[in-house]
Amino acid sequence: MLILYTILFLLLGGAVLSLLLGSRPAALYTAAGSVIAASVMGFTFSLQLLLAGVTLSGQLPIPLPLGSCLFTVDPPAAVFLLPVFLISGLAALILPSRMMGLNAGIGDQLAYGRHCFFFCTLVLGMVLVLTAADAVFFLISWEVMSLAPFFLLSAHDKDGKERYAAWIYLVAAHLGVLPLLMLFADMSVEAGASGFYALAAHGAWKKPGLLFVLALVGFGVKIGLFPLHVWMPESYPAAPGHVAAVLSGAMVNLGLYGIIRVILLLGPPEIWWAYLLMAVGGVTGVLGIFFAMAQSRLKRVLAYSSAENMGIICLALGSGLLAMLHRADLASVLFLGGALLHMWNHAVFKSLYFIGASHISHSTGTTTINHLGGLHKRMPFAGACTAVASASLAGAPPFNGFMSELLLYAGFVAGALATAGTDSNLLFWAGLFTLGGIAGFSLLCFARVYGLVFLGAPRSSVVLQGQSAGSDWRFVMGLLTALCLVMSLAAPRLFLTLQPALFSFSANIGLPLPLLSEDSFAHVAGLLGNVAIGCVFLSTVLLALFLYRRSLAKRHPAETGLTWDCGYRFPTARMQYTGGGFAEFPAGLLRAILRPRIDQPGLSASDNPFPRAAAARFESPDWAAELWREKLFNKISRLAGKAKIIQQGVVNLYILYILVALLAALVWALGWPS
Amino acid sequence: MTAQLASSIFCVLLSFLLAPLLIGVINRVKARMGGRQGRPLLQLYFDINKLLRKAPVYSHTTSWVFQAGPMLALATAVCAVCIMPYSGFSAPYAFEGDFVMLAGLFALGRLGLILAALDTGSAFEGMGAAREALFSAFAEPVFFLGLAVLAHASGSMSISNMISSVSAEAWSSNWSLYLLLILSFFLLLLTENCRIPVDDPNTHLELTMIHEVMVLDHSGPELAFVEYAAALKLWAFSLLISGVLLPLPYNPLFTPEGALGPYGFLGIAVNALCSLLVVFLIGIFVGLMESLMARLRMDRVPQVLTLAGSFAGLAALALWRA
Repeated sequence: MLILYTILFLLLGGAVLSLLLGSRPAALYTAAGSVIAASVMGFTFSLQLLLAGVTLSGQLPIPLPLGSCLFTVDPPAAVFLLPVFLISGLAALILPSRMMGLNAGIGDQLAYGRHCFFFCTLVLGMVLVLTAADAVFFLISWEVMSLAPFFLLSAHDKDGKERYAAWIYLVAAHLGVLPLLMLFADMSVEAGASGFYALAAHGAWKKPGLLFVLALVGFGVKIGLFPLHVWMPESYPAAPGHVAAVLSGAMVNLGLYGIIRVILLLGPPEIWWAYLLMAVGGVTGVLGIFFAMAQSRLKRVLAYSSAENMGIICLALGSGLLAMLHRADLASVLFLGGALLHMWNHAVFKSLYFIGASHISHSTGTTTINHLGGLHKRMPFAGACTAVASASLAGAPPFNGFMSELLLYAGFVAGALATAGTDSNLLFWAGLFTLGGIAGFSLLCFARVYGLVFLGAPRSSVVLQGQSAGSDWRFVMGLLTALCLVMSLAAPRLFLTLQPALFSFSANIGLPLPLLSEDSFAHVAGLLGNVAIGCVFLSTVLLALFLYRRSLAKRHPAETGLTWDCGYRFPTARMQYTGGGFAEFPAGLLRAILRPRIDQPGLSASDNPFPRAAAARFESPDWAAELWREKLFNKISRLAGKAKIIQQGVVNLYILYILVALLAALVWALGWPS
Repeated sequence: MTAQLASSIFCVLLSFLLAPLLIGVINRVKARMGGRQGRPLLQLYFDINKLLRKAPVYSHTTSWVFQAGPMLALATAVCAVCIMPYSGFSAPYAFEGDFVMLAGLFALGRLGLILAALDTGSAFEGMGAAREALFSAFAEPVFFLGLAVLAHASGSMSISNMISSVSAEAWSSNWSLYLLLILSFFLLLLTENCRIPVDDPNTHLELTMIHEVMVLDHSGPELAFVEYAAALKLWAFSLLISGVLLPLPYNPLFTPEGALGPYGFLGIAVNALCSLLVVFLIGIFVGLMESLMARLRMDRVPQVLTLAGSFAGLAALALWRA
């Protein structure tokens, strides 16, 4: 536990020191150094813990108003700590150049110290959330972790849109804490103590279903479950690269950790919890990828895709619970292991993509797909790394996204085989169909995004401002790309690393044992090993083809010319397919779900004989966000507007209010029977 | 090297050799239905040979992605053929869960061709890429559902075991399941291999192209790779359908150790010949369909895929109630 305290101290020290250093660049390096040191220590610490499968506990004698500073690092927490440390460390590597690059174009002094303070606080908050063993302490850490990104997002607070993005983030984070407050307050009052051990030892809860729904809603805001995902597409694009990587690669997983922890605390799960998780996960995945497909800006696509991947993980988690309840051993291992492996994989390829997108937006000034194109000629390294990230996101072998989705598909079939003849059989078929649809559409989405942004010809002149990334960015992107490939080939070993966490989960969930068996793990590791061999075989065939192609090219060297395009001799970059064009057919087919707004002016009779200039507009707004705004926020703001009558600005009136309040208090104190 | 492994590898080599012949058969059927003599049966071999000896022309707009796409398509098609078994045999690269690998390989090949098409910066190829991405997005869940139903019916997650469990006994007890699966897989074959009614492999009109328009700019060896990969993909799908279709009685060709079983070389030859015969019959059927039907309007194509999905869903229901 000493190591954990050292890590926390390093992060806190880095935060305070960089705040004291103010606007000097030394603040950036201090913060980066402390986060990197803490991450290296933390990564090795959590890896050792996970491999050994032990649980560590400790307590700090810091007085809290309620509850106590209890720490516990058990295998499930270690599983989530690993991506937190990895992504935070890599993000900290690019923090100095990113922040100094931000300043270069603006001219006003950005408060480096403030940004670094909140960055270190964010990492600190994440570590605390994962290691807290007391409900009150958990909530405090959750608040710390949720508040820090607000300050990180508002780096450019002169820009109205960025202020709006930070504002939406704050509203969503705070509204999400409300169910958590209710949940933990209820649990602590009922159990009589707020420590997680006391809560776990409490026997049967009075209303476990209500508690589970509260947890799902509260943590679902952080994960991005539909319809609570509406803050993600607004906030993620406003975050600078390193912050977006940490938000999407590390912070979003903490919601998952919360759900898993609450399930472990609530005792034996009921079957409708699994149904609910599967349903919510499936809907989020499907709607997330449909919305992602129709967006016109790169970072919004990535935000929706984060929601989609979290939906897949929730679907896997729910299916795993269902398999456990049916005592389907192999299926449970496949689902739960697949969910955690997908969480790891998603952290790696999503943060890689966000860093690449941030590099694009930083050098060209835009992330609108219709203004980009042909970028990989300007930034070949970033292009190659983003290609690997796109292939991973689309679930193509031999990258890591395919490995975790493979486990889920195999899990659905194994689950269907194990529950043959019952109603859950149909649920597994439906889950398989949903996952297949999500995978198919994510291939469409990321082929669209990568193809239109990086390939082809430049659609506007901003592309010419694109430039290659600096060496620290290249290092981080290259490392994450290499991880995508290595994590795929090493998937059997990674899966076996998850074994202690899965055993711990099954031991504490409250169902009669044995739930998972050793040879299921061996079986799944064998499956992953076979697939890894297949990926190696595929790479060998590819290499052989490449060498053959090269020998052919030596004999018949290539010529260059214009794009043939079936014989058209004057192609321009404006003739290329646009983002809207690519998404038009699918969005039209799915218009009942997506509700796109298509504004296509027709010809009118008064246009005789020559039609005038017109404009067409194709928009895919987030109808969930619009519903929230109309039904909830606008109503509240109207009510609040009516309450403005209290504020007249006249001091005499305010003194009258104070008098009335004092009189009422006096009456209450005197006249109320005690 | 056991006899089983040797015969599996032999079957794979046979597939590599005969795949272009299937395309030749389809084209010959279409020509004869149209009252023409038609091109030689071995035309695709001649074409591939000619293309490999030509110098390609690349566009200024393209990059390494344009050259990598066809190589990816061919490599994944080669690996996919290594997973597909003939009836009664097991594929050389078979394991529990290989059906997901099959779908993943097809997805990777498709991704390579789509990105190569978008790399040319032309409106035509972008259109083909968009359409191909959309129709395969609809086809993917249907493919998974069909394979999963087959896995459930056979009780195993390996395609080789799934196909060898489709015996005359299984057909007689559960014929509706296999019939529905065949219909679903056949519609998927038409979609994934760009045959009528989903796509027309012969025209070059904007209205009627998906796959052809994606590969417009490829020339020389790249085009050879693309054509051969398309032939291999069609062969793989036809093998899948022939595996589900052939109600051969359950005759183990090999002992559990992998040595030659009681039927010897004759059994192996008969099984392989039956599979090949059914594959070429499927080719003839595809050729007949191409001659007797026109390509559907573009927005009807998702309805074809919904039909395939319904067949697979009905097959799942048939299994649930069985």
